[in-house]
Amino acid sequence: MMVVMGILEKIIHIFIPRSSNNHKAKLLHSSSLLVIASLLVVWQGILTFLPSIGPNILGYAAQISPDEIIRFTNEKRTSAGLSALTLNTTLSSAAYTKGRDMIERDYWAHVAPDGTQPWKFFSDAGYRYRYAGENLARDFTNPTSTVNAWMDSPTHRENILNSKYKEIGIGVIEGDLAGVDTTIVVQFFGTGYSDVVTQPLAVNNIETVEKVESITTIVPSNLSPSSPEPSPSIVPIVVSSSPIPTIKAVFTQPQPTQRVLISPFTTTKSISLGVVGILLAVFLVDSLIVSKRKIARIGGRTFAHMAFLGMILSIVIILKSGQIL
Amino acid sequence: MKNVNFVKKISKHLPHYISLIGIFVATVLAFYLFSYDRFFLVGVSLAFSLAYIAWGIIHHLIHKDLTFLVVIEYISMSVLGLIIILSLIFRN
Repeated sequence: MMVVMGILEKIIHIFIPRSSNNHKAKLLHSSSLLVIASLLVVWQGILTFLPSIGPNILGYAAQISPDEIIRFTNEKRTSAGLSALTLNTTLSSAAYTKGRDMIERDYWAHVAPDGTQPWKFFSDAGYRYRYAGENLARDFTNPTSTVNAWMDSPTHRENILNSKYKEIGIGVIEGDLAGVDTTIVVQFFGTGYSDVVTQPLAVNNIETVEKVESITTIVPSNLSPSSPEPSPSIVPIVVSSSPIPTIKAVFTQPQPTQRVLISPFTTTKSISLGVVGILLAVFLVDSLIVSKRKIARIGGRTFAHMAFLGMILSIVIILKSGQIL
Repeated sequence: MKNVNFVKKISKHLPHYISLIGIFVATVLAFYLFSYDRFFLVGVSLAFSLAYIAWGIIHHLIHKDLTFLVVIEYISMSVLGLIIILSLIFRN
């Protein structure tokens, strides 16, 4: 009985303002807030070092179909008045190889650590391109959010809505990236060397078509010397003199029952929502009790703190899983 | 009566709270519109944390109730908020 009373006392001390906590819930004291912040840092440390203990503990469950990615991409293009891209199995093979390369060599970038450009995968697969482009995505849970994330980024959107591209290839690859089970989506765009632009394109792209005729080198818009990482881009023609090898296209479909114990992002988000929710509730109870009892105390403004937590809550809700490159 | 007092209190500090809500709305909008730009979001997070501390100090300074503990309280809130947001940005 005494033990129960002791626990109850402790809980009241933490959540309810009274004389023992200087008329402010202990949870809202600066020291408690800093302790919570420290615990969150420790949790992130655990998530970071967990892969070294067990590589299959962390991961992202995903159901991403290449066909759906193509369908959503073409929906965006047709809405913008552009022609739909056609699936090219050689491009899909190249995209898959690029994805496998990232998993096997453990990198997440357009350019491999040894400087291998993405365009090499086009050539290696036997795709002789006039124009080529690449979009990358990882850790998304479905095709819609993947394509929407690309559309939200101006440079990726430019690739999707580029009238110069006629074909598309998608590679969906699952594997271990930096100790975390990941689903990578590689989206390759291209126009074959033999392709000629004959069909009328969208009105707002007339200028672009004219450039195709006159410009032989198109430099990625935000490529800078300090940043060797190219943005999604269109590149000048590279003609391969070697005969085109026959490569069997490889497609992957994520396994429906992926073994995932802890999703780092979802877990972090749930904990964040819990912490912010509890603090908001305690602040609300605290302000009501202090107001009712007419307790005068020197401290920060409760309304400001609650508004601040409300903003944090909004941001936590807004942030979604997945990265694009 | 209590509600009237609360509204009176808020109305008295209205310019302060409008600027505070302005900072918050701008931050949330930045996260919504530029969700693809991780480095920009980190910059926005740092900026809003510092802005909240600055707002707290200026607000309490004007009301002549600024103490060391009040500053620590705003810093603690900001640090906690910053860690929550950065954890999600970098865990993504």
